[in-house]
Formats: sequence, structure tokens, C-alpha cells
Amino acid sequence: MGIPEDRTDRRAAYLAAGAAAVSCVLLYLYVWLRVEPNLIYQQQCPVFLTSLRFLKRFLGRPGGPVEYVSDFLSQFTYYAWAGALVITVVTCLVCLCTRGLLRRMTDAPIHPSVYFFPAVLLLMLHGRYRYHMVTGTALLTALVFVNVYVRITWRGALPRLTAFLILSVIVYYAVGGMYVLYAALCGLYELLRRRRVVLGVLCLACAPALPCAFAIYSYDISTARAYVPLPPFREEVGFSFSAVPALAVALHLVVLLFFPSVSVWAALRRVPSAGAAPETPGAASLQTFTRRSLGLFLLTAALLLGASFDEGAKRRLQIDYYARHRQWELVLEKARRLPAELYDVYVMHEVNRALYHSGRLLDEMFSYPQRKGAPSILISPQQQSRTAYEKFAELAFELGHVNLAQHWGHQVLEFTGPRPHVLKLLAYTNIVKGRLQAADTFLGALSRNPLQSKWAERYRQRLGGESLTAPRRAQGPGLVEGAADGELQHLRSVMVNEDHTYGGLGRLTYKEILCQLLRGNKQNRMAFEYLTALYLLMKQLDQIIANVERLDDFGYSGIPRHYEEAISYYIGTHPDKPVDLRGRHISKETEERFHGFARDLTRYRNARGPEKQVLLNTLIRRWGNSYFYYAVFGFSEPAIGWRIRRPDVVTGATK
Amino acid sequence: MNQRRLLLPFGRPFDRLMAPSSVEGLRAASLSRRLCGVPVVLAAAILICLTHGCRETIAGYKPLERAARIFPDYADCVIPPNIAPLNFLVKEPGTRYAVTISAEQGEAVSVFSSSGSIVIPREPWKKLLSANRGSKLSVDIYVMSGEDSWNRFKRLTLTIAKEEIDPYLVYREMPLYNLVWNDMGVYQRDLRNYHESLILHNRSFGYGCLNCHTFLRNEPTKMVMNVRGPGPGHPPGGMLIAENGLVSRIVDTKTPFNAIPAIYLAWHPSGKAVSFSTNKVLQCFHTVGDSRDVVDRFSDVALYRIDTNTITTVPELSSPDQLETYTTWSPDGQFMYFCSAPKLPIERYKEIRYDLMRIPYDLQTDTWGKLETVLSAKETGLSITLPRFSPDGRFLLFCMCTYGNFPAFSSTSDLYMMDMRTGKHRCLDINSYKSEAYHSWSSNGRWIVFSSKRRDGLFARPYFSYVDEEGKAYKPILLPQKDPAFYDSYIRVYNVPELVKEPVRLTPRELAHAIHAPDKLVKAKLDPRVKPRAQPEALKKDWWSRPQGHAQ
Repeated sequence: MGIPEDRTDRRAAYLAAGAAAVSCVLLYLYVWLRVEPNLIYQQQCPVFLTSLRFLKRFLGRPGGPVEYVSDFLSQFTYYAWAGALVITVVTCLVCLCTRGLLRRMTDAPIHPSVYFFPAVLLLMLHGRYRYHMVTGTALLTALVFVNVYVRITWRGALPRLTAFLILSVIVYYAVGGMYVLYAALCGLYELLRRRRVVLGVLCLACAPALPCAFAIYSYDISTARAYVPLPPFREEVGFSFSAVPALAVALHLVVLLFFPSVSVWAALRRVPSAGAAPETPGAASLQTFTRRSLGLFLLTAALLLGASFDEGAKRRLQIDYYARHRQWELVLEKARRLPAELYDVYVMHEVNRALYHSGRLLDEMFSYPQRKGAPSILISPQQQSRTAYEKFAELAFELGHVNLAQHWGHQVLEFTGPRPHVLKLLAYTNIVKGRLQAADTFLGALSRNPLQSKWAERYRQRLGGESLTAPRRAQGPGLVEGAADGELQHLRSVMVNEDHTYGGLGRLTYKEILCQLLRGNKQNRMAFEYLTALYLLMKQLDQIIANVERLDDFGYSGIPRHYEEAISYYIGTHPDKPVDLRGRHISKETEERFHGFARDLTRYRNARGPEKQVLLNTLIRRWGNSYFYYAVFGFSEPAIGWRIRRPDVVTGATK
Repeated sequence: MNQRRLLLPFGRPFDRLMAPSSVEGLRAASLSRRLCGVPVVLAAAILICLTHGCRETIAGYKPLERAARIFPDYADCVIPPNIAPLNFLVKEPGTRYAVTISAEQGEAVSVFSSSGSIVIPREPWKKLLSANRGSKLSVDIYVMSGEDSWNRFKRLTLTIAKEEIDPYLVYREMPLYNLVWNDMGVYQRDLRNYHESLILHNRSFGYGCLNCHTFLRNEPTKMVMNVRGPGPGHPPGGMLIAENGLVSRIVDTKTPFNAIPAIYLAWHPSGKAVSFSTNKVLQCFHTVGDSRDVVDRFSDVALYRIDTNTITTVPELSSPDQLETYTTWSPDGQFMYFCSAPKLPIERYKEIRYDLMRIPYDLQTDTWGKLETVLSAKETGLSITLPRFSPDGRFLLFCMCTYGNFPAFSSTSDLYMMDMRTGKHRCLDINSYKSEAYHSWSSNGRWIVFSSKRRDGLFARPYFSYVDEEGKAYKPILLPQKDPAFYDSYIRVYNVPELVKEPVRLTPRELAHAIHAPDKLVKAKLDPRVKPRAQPEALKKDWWSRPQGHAQ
């Protein structure tokens, strides 16, 4: 007994709707909970301002409108749930447009998994954390225009060519380099579906030609830039941490090639002949999801997403995110789970910051991978990246080196535009320097950011209206009223107060930065701990010994663990040199630990063959997180294989 | 019964209203007729308000003895009669604000606002100023406080000058720390309104540098500007000379005498030559206080003759023991003025103070005269920089600061005026405690524009000041903006402001095309009388390329 036709249709419709709904919900949940769009915001920190001047910067160039829209949409990624919603909507619309296109490319039934597949590809890209919202927005816009074109009912070649060209101008202006996709799809449609060879070839020829022609005509855009956002490489997409950047690039290309490929496939498909039984179950299943096909699709998607997801990149971003939000315990927790191949100077920078802020730098720094050099980003020639500048500027500010923070903060501003945290930093530097009006200007700029406007306005009011409008002479620290921020008050007390020129007239070494701070205020704890960390990492143990008396300035009850280990190591390896600890003593436990390490080290050095590796592993397990181990091997290895491995020339070296 | 469906504006049918036999229906019909008129009346009201303004009035007010705090502060300023409306913010707490601008002639302009942002309508403003040149302008500010009563602040008075200001301002606009040349352009702004247009952006030639635009006698048809390519693979750039609507040439000013090309430029009044200095500039940073400084390691002055494509100099202008820079010409073209300081070891940069010098020059015979000191740093105790003559040659405006030659980075830099009849100079009253730096004159010699960081010590903004026949400068006004709160959030700087009589008509594309055109590039020849010079070690490294770390 067969199922009545209308009931079959209704069931198919319900199933299709249900499949779509389930897919959308799963997509949303995946993006929200797995990808965490707030990490994308952290990574890219897209700039968006509500001023007309900001808008005008986009309107004068190809691709500007879609960049403006995507920068606006990117603001939603500040909140994970909202960003997931935006990404889901964009992705679903891409799928809808794909469906619309394929329906015009062929009369044959198309299984929904075909036009849902772009969603999978886009999610795979998101999971690599090398993806920019503008690509999706431009892709969507291009597909919308393709759908518009393929629905134009004009039949003649000339009218269609005219329509194509008119739309080409609009599309190129709107989406920039993604125009290539638009033109390619229109060309394929004409060629394969409407069998207009000349028109099709013309459209296809326009794909690469129009951006190139524009670049030749316009001096404002280079040939490479004329194709943005088509190419996968954008300098804003994070710093170089992905172990396999080629995979992200390949995925990007797959996404772009998917649409022409599937269009060709659809156009070449044969429509089922009129004589075939239209009511066979197989025919219906080609056009809609069945439980089985939906399950298979979801399983395939899950496998692909799982295989392509860059967990390491996510953790790296989480470290950055939590550091930005000053959630130090979470920074350390994520760092502990980071694979060695992803642990580099940027991670070390944040880990050491987290350790300092949780009062454990000199006790636990070697419980994390460390290597010879500065305990932070240094702005060495190998570290010339905007991320390095940002991190260094923030650290300089925390240390109290306000002018350095201002210098590098402005450098970041010049690179990236008015990112909120940079504007905040520059506002703070000016507050600390007593330049309230300048701070107010930065806060005013920040108030144009829709996410920061309330905070900025509140802070401007805290600065005090009267003091901003009254004429002010140049002021030193301590004369600021109204800025009742405890941290800023503290910073004012530890600010550098001696002038030293650098740049064209000299150098300012990392050590000198810290010593200068301590000369200005010997109770600058952060400067002291970072200086000590520097000495430890550079194995300048004589300096460690010489600075023991400074511990009194900070109220340490004993000697921090690594400090003690360093002293103990020094004493143990320089038995003939007297050491004056200014009334402090090395604990018995540390002495015993040193002796234990020395024993294990001796055994390791005397061993041969396979036993050597075993003893090395024992050494690592017992001592890898101690200064003893670091002093001998030049790096810490808190767990077997967990040490900084990446070549310094890629991640940044310290001189 | 026929039921007519009456569709009101939102499409709702009122069937029952069209049953006139019932009393209720009659009342409802009457109501519906009245209601039909509401949208019409509303539309009319909106139209009247838009065209004539809602004529709010101030019934009564309490006069206050003090002036309102406004930004920018226009009290007692002298303003050009052709300036755009001077929109401003009233920085007094209140719920409603009103401003009345009046003068002896013409209709007063009233503006009401709920936010304190006063945007003055352009046409009434323009009429008021035109009708009252040379007279006073009164500004009454009213603020409504919480009790719904108005307070009127003490009247502000401005003076409308008789003389107009050159209507266009050309400037370079860029980030505060322009270290990697990421985004800068030369723009022009119509001072009669708020229209700003691009002259050239550095993205047109690979994000190189562009700077030091200057015009002959405020004429846009004679423009010279430095364009520097970012490095290999891009147009090299040079000294761009545009005459009569065309880029005539881009001059590579490097010669066997000077490895550094022309930096600071100045037209000879004849238009046949351009003097320049070549400066090896070092930027350094401080760890406290003003964070930046600029020092010249080497600098010399030379002259480029357009007719012969020749660069020439004399030992008085290019001594190896001196740092010569910042040339300018007397309006009759007979003297070149410039700044000169003894070269000291670079560590003693804070001791470098420039004298003001002059040297006669005969363009016809291409001969130089004897060097003279006009004003010495020893005499003033300060370093003299950026001399510029008024068009009539009566006054010389310059900057002085405690050391060095980069007043933009020195908070001690102030404007000084020398009366060429008497040779005496004085510090202008319009200075602030912050840096006053680059300046230029209008073509009629009655206005100056200068860069000042007076507002916050950080961002350079253009200010305009009226200068009378005796050389007295009056309280300056800030470049007006349509949005009175513009400067509250603008974090870029205006640099090298120059007044011009008309707009620069060369389009960005024409300029970019010229920069890219190989046939425009001309290699300057060295005057055979000038001996080539061995290049200092510091110059052998290619310093011409874009700084490292650029984003593009």
C-alpha cells in the first residue's frame, strides 16, 4: 500500500525544513562553542567607527563597501554568541545563494548536501583561525549578484552583455577582487547553461581582466591589491603561529573553486528523462534530505571539521584573549596544554606576564618553557610585527615606561588604525603624563567605536570636564585630578624620570629599560622581577647575587624559588667564590635539591647508549622545571619534549 | 447597504465608519474626517519647520557675569569675512542651548540645540559676515538649566576683518607618529565651507613619502613638492614641479655634491628657481617628557635653477662645519634667508642653535654676494627656524625654540615677528605654552596660518591669525569644522599648512601619472663651479627607502 503523494510531499517538505533547521542550529552551536568568535575578534580586532570620515575611507575604492560592512559585522564577534549568529546567517545565506545558482544551472535535482557543503568549507576555514569576515561577506555579495544576473530574463546576447557589464561595475566596486568569482560564474552560466559561447567567454575573460585593468588605470591600487579580498593572505589574520599555514590557504582556494566546480557539474548533469517513473523513492531522495542522507552529511561534516580544526591556534588565541582580559590563571592553564611546536616567544611573553601578575614569576617561570634571552617580546629585528609592537607597548606601560609605551602604541596605531585597546593604552599614557586633553582626544576617538562608546564616555567624565577645558601648562606626574584609577596612580609612582635618547641618537637595551625604571623607583616590583628573570635567562648569576639585597625593597619573606636555585647553583659551581647573601640563607631543601640534581646530572653525563636517554628523561621529569636544569641546558623543559623549539628567526629572537 | 472601505494612511479599512445611518457612524465619520487631516497637518508642520526652522524663542533669561565656556574659544578673535561658519560646542551643563549671532547690519542668526553643539547655517552666516566687514560680531549664548529657565552668558565679541583670507588651505594629513608612511596625503580645504579634497595620497606611488609642498606667491599654478618613492620597484620620485596645471618635471636632485636630495623647498619669487636644503635627518626618542626629537646630522643649502636644470651652491651655503637649512626669499628675490648653526658632535644636539642668515643673489648673473647674520642665536639665546616673509616684505615671521630646528617637536617653539624696517623682532602675543611651528602668509599679508599644539600638546592643528599693518597678530581661530566636536576625536595631524588663492586643479590621478611616468623624471646637473664632495659614511647606506616594518 503506497503513501499518498501529498503526504509524501509534506513529509519531504517537513524533513527538508527540519534538516535545514537542524543544520543551522548545529552550525551556530559549533561556531559559538567550538570556534568562539570572540577569539576571532581578539585576533583581528577589526576597527569600526561611526563617523562619516571613517565611512568615506571605504567608499573611494573597490571592495570598500563590503569591507565596511564586514568590519561592522565583525564587531559582533566581540560577543561569542552574537558573532556566531552573524557567521551563521552569512553562511546560511551563502548556502541559499548556492542553491539559487544551482537551480538555474540545471533542471536536474540537486541534493541539499551540495549546497550545504559551502557551510562546511566555511566552518573549516573558521576553524583554522586564518579567516577574515570580509571574505565571507564578499563571497555572499558576489553570489547574490550572480543570482541576480542568472535571473535576468533578457534573451539577446547584447542585452545580457550590457547587464553583465553594468553589474560588473557595481560588483567590482562593492566586493573588489571577489568580482572574479562573480564573472566566472556568470561566464559558466552563459557557456554551459545558455550555450552562448561568445558571451560566456567574454564573461570569463572579464574575471581576471577587470581588476587588472583597474589596477593599471588607478595608481592607488597595486595589481595584487586589486584582487583583494580574493586571495587568502591578509596580514591582519593573526601572527604567524599556525604550523600548517598552507592548509588554510588550500581550504581558501577550495572554497573559491567550489562554486565554479559545482556549477560546471550541475550544468553537465543530465535531467531524468520524461519516461522514467517520477515517483520512485530514489528520485525524491535526490532533492531532499532523508534521515540517512542527513546523518551521513552531518557525519562527514563532523569528520572534516574535526580533522581541520586547529586546536593549537585556538589555544594560542585563548592565551592572548585571557591575557588581554587579565585572566591570568586561564592564561597559565591554556599555556600548560599548548603543544611544544606552538610555544614561542609570544606565548612566553604572556605566560611570564601572567606569572608576574599572579605573584609567581620568580617561583614558577621555569615550570613553563623558557629559553635564553629576554623574558618578553623585545622588538628585535626578528620581532618586527604589529603583534610584537602591541605586546611590547602594553608591557612597557605596565612597567612604567610610559614614553616607550606611547612610542610603540603609536606605531601600532599607524599600522592597524584606531583599535580600541591601542586607543585605551594611548589615553592612559597621556593621563599618566598629565596630558588630560590629549587623553580626552583618544577617548573621543574610542567613543566612535560602537562597542566602546559607553566606556569611553564614562571615562571622559571621570577625567572631569572643567580640567579639560581650562588651559593647562605642561605638567608632571602627580598633578592629575579626577583620574581615580589605582593602577594609573601606581604607574605614576613608578614612571621613568631620567631621560635617555634612543633611535637615531643611541640605543636602549632591554636591560637598560629595566635598570632605568629601578633607578627611578627602587620599589618597581615588576621591573625588578623582570630584571631578575632576564639575569636568570642570561645566566648572569653574579648579578643575581649582587641584587639579593633588593629583595628587602619588596618585602619578600624568603628568597623566591628560582632565585634560590640560581644562588644555590652558583655556590655549587663556584665553591671558591664567597657569596654574601646579606643576611639571607638558602633553605636546606633547596640545597638538597641541588645536590640531588647534581647527582642525576652526573649519572646522565656518565651514561652511554640507551640508558642515557632514560636518564635524561628522569632528569627532565625531576628537574626540568628548575633553574638547575636551565642553567645546564640553556632551556627549561618542564615535561619531556615540552620546550621552545621553534626557530627564533620565525617567532622572534632576543639579542 | 453599500459599504465603502476607506483606507487611511496605514491601510486600515474603517468599514463601520461608513454606515452613516447610525449616530455612532456619524460621530465616527466625523472623527475619521478629522483624523484624515492629521497626517496632512503633520507633514505641513514638518515642512514649515524644515524650511523656516522651528522658531523657538527665549521669553526671559537671567544674565550671568561670566562668559560661557565654548570650544573652540572665539572670544575676541578676529575672523576672516569669508570663513566658513565657526561652529562650536558650548561646554556648560544644560538641557537646551541657544545662540544668537548678530552684528550692526543684517539679520541675526539664531541656533537652538539640545546638546550644546552649535551648527550655524551657512548662508545666513555668510550674509552676516559680508555685510559687516570691519565691524564687530556679537555672540549671545543662552543655556537652559534644570528649572526650564534660560541663563544668558556674557556676550562674546569677535571682529570681522575687512580683508579676506586666501580661500584654500593645503596641508599634509597623516598619523601622529608617521614612522612607516602608512597613510598620508596632501589635501586642500575650502575655508569658505568644509569641503576637503585630495591632492595626492602616498598610496598612489607605493606608500612613499610626500612632503614640503609650497606655492609661489600663494598661486596653486606654481607648486613644488617632494615625492619620495618607498624603494626598489617603485617610482623613485623627486622634487615635483607643477606649473600651470601640468607637472612639468620631477627632479632627481641628488648630485655628486649632495647624496641627499632636496628636503625643505622654497620658490624664488621669479618662479625660475627653487632653493632647498638637503638634510640628513635623525629622529630620536626620549624616555621622558616630549617623546620625540629631530636632529640634522648634515645639512646644506643649494639652489635648483629650472631653466638650466642645474643645482648650484656656494661654500657659504654648504660649509662642512655648518648646518644650513630652511631657506626663504625676500619678496624682491634679492636675498635668500636661511638658518645656520655650527655643527657639533651629535651627542650635543641640545646645544645646537641656529642663526638667521642672509645672502644676496642675482638671478640674472647667477652670482652670490656676501653672507650676513641677520639675527644670531647668541643674541637671542634661542634657535631660529622657519623664516617666512610677508608678501610685502615688511615682516619676517619665524620660530624660535631652545635648541634644534624642528619646532613641531619642541614645546618651547614660539612665533616671532621681525619688522624689516627696524630690524627689531618680538615674540607674538598669540603664542601658547605648546609648540607653535610651521606657518605661512596669505597673499594679502593680513593673515597667517600656523601649526599649533596648544590644545593638548600632541596634535598639530592649523590656526589662523590676523596680522595688522603694524605686525600685530590677533587671537587666532582654529580651522573650523562642520562637526563642532570634530577635534574631540580626531587623532591625526595637520602638517605644513599653506594658504593658496585658488584650488589646486591637478587631480590626484594626474599627479600620480606624472610620478609614474619615466619621461617626467629629470636628473639635475651639478653646476660645474661646484666641486663634487666625498660622501660621509653615514650617507653611504641607502637611507632613502621606506622605513622597515611597513604594513603594505
